[in-house]
Amino acid sequence: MLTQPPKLGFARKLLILAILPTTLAVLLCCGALAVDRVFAVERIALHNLTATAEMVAIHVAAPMSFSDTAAAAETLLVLREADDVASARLYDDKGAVFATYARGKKPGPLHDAPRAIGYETEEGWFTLTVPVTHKEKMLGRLTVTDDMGEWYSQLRRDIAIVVGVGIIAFGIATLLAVRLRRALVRPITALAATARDVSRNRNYTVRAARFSHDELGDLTDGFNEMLAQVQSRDAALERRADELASLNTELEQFAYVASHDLQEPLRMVGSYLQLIEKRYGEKFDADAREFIGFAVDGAGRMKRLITDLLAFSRIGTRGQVFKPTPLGMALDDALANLKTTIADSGAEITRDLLPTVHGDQSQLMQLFQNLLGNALKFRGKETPRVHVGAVRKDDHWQISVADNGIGIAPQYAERIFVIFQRLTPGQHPGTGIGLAVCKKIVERHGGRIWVESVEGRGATFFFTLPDERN
Amino acid sequence: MARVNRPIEILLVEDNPGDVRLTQEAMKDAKLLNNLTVAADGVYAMDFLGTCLEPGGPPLPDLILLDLNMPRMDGREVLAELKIHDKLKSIPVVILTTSDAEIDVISSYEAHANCYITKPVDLEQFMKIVRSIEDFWFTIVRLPVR
Repeated sequence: MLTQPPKLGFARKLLILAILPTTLAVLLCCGALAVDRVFAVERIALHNLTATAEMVAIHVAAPMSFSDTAAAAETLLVLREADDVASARLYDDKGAVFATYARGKKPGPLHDAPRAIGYETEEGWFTLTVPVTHKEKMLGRLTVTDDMGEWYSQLRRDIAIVVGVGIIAFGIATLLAVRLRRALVRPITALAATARDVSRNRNYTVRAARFSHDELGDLTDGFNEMLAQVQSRDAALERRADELASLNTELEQFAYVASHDLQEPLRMVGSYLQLIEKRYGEKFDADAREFIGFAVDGAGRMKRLITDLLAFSRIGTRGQVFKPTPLGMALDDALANLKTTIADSGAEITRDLLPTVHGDQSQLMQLFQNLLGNALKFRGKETPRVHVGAVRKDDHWQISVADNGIGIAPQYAERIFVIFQRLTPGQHPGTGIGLAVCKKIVERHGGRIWVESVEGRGATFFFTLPDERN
Repeated sequence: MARVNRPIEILLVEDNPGDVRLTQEAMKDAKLLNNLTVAADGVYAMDFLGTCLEPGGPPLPDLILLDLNMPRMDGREVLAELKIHDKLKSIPVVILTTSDAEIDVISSYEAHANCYITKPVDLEQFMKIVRSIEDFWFTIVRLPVR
């Protein structure tokens, strides 16, 4: 039995499966890029500033060697082309200020004392000091100050771009995953719905729709093929059941018609034998009368067999529709029919409180009548005592008819229920139909019948019947 | 009970010659003078009744003994035709058949059969039944005077 499917579970798992690696990759890339930018920004700044400073240092070497301050200041103005340079100052070899440059907007700090060769950072400013030499003679120093704010805002822009790209990538990945998930989940949900329909309604004619030409499509095809096989097998089974049912009906019909039509010629045989006996009996000798006696007796027995066979075949073909039937009433009717027999034998018949079952009242009456009739017929030497009991078992009732009669040897416990089987033909009259009828009635009611007995010490017949609600 | 001094007329509709003969044998022993006419099936029976209705034809039967299962036209059809016929519907019809099927009993009475008898196997019983029919219909009950 299929339970309500964890539809969201599977779909969500697919979504996570699709997005998680992408997200992780994008996050890692962005992170690495950002860290790299953070570390690289100073390196790049230093590299740029060094190139600028060294170039300027070469150009100011000549003016410095001629102590031409104006020309040196003129040369420093080249730095206007370098956006990031906020200020620059030249010191001579004695450490005095030789020339100064400061850009228009937000000039950098200027120091009166010369700086040590190398670079340093302070409050967002990056300062680099390089020597100014001419022919390996140290003429002075050049200090260039760079505005780190520019670099940092550049860095922020870069990180913003990286984060933006990451978000867009995540969005696109999610969108694609949702699309893909729908393509994957739809055939599976359709398949699950079909499977549920099949198992719930036993409807093997439905087929799952195929959405794609991939493994899921193959799965759907396989499922549909399986369904087709089940359907054809189911149809074959149904056909077989129908055939069996109609065969059974035919057989019962045959038994009914055969026994019915057998009566006509039999009546002729019996009646005319009797007529011969009646009209010409006086002319016959003892032998002839005995022969006719046997023939008449045979015809009579055959008539009883046919009547019984007819009654037997009618259990299946002429039964009433089942309805709630109080077993107590069926037993009352059976006892009424057996009134004379009971009175003659002086039998004591006791009973439990009997339930109401779902069945055919007249057949249940017949069932009791046959079992009680047997209990009285196969009596022992004592006064017959019969008890009709009822015990509730799970979903059915178990009814018992117990007597104190001659009992049945265990090896015959099965045979007595077969039609026309008799154990004591010489001593007890009958055709051997009674218990076969009982068996057929009980089986028609969906129950079973059996006997438990010790020979010489009575027999108890049990039968089961489904209860009223079933 | 006043009776017209004439033999009673009985129509036996029966296809089995053995049964016809048995009925005739039983009627031979009857107390009353009777005239048994035999029709081998429904068609003969309806033909015979047709001639009875013609002027100068034979007298109408006082009682019809009708078998159910017959070739050509069976007892059920005969019964249905008799009971819608103005001049024939008052003739008592005794169904005398081998069938003891519940459905046959019910449908016969529903088609206004006057009684239903299953033929017994035993000769004595058969004789007794035929005599009972005669006794009941011709000495106990009062039939319409024709």
